[in-house]
Amino acid sequence: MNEKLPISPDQIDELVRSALRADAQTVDAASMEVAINERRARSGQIHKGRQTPGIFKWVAAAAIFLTVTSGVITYVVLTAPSANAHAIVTSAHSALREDLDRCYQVELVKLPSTRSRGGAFVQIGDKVTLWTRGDRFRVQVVRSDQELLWGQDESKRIWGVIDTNRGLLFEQDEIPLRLHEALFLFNLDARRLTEEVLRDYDLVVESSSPGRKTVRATRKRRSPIVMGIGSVRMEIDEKTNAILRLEVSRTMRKAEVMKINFTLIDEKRLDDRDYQLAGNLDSDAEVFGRDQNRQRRRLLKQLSDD
Amino acid sequence: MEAWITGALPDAVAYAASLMGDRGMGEDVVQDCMCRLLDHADRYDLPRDGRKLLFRSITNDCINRKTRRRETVSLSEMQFGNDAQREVPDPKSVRPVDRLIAQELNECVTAGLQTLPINQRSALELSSLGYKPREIAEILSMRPAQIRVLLCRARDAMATYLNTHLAIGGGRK
Repeated sequence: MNEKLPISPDQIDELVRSALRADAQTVDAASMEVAINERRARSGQIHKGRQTPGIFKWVAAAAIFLTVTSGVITYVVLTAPSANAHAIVTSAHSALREDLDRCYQVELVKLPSTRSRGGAFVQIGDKVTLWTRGDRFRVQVVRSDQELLWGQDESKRIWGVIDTNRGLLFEQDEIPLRLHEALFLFNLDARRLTEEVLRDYDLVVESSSPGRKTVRATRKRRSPIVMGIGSVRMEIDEKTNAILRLEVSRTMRKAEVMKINFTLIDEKRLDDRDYQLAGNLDSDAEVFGRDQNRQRRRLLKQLSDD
Repeated sequence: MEAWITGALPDAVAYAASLMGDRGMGEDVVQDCMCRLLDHADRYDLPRDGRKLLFRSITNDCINRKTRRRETVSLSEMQFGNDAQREVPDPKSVRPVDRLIAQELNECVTAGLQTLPINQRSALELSSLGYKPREIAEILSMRPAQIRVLLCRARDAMATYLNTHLAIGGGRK
């Protein structure tokens, strides 16, 4: 029954070559070259500094003296605001009620240093509304006149609505690659995020608009970031301590690649079913799960290509 | 030099994206490696050896990143799968159905490659890009005999994967 496929090594190589070539054709080499040149220009300045000849060593010594002096001054000046920032975020964390769902308007901001535009399920320019409760989320993406509704339920299953009669359901171990980026963006648990910010980030109070306190959180140096959240800027209501806006900076290898802004627009209790596929479909709707993988893949492709 | 850079980038990105399983990270790796290579351009004859050096650097960087523990915070538990960019129309295909088939096939091959260990994947991809086992051995810092074993295992695994997922050649009537 398990008959071996009569594919020759050359055919395998040819298939791999075709897949790589198809991918290579989508590379914007010119833009990438510009980005590389920009990076090199920045690092070139650093190298120049390192290659300063010995004759200028006294300048370096003076610079070290000034750095140490200013470091001490900075420490004295910043210690109080840092403690203050910690208190602000702690208050904001305490104000995040577990029994409420939060609705954010989400904005993806492209950075000039990267080509990342988002994935098929969410892109820069989309109008995105996100409801979250812990790990659960429900996201509505409006692109031109198309609307896409999908989310994650209490079992961390990912679902998508094709129309009111058809839906897609993915168990955690079978989530397709094309959904991963969007998951990364929308898996926003504000309580967990503030916990981690308090634990793993350096906090500084920034000047902000009236009625708001702003804290910038930058990941501590002790752990190098391969991919994750480099910094978070939080705007917190002075009276209620509610987090009104989150600006999340996503990084790869210390370089910022994308900013995602979450603006709080509503807080209330949603029905549990709003986070479930069944709650967003008609009662007699067809659900394509693991057993109908082939149709599900086609529908997913259709959903993301629309 | 510019021509060499723009000529080398597409294949390099496709290769790195496949090794990382992620286009964005692949681009990041290529940018890093290309910067390092260009910083030391005076040591090498890039038009002659640059491509091989670049692929070696990419391979090492990808392996390092894949084997390094990933930092996680609540927003970053998932990989950055930007594979939507890979699903480009095959310019040679005219009919939508042909395009769809080509996409499906490429998607399946890409998914199959992701199931291979990274050294098998890199060996197979380098082979498909035209490198001989001896050259792949240089890039991966291994012996040619080891490369031949890796290639053999990778092709077997890919054949099995394609057999399962494309449902072709299984004696259907």
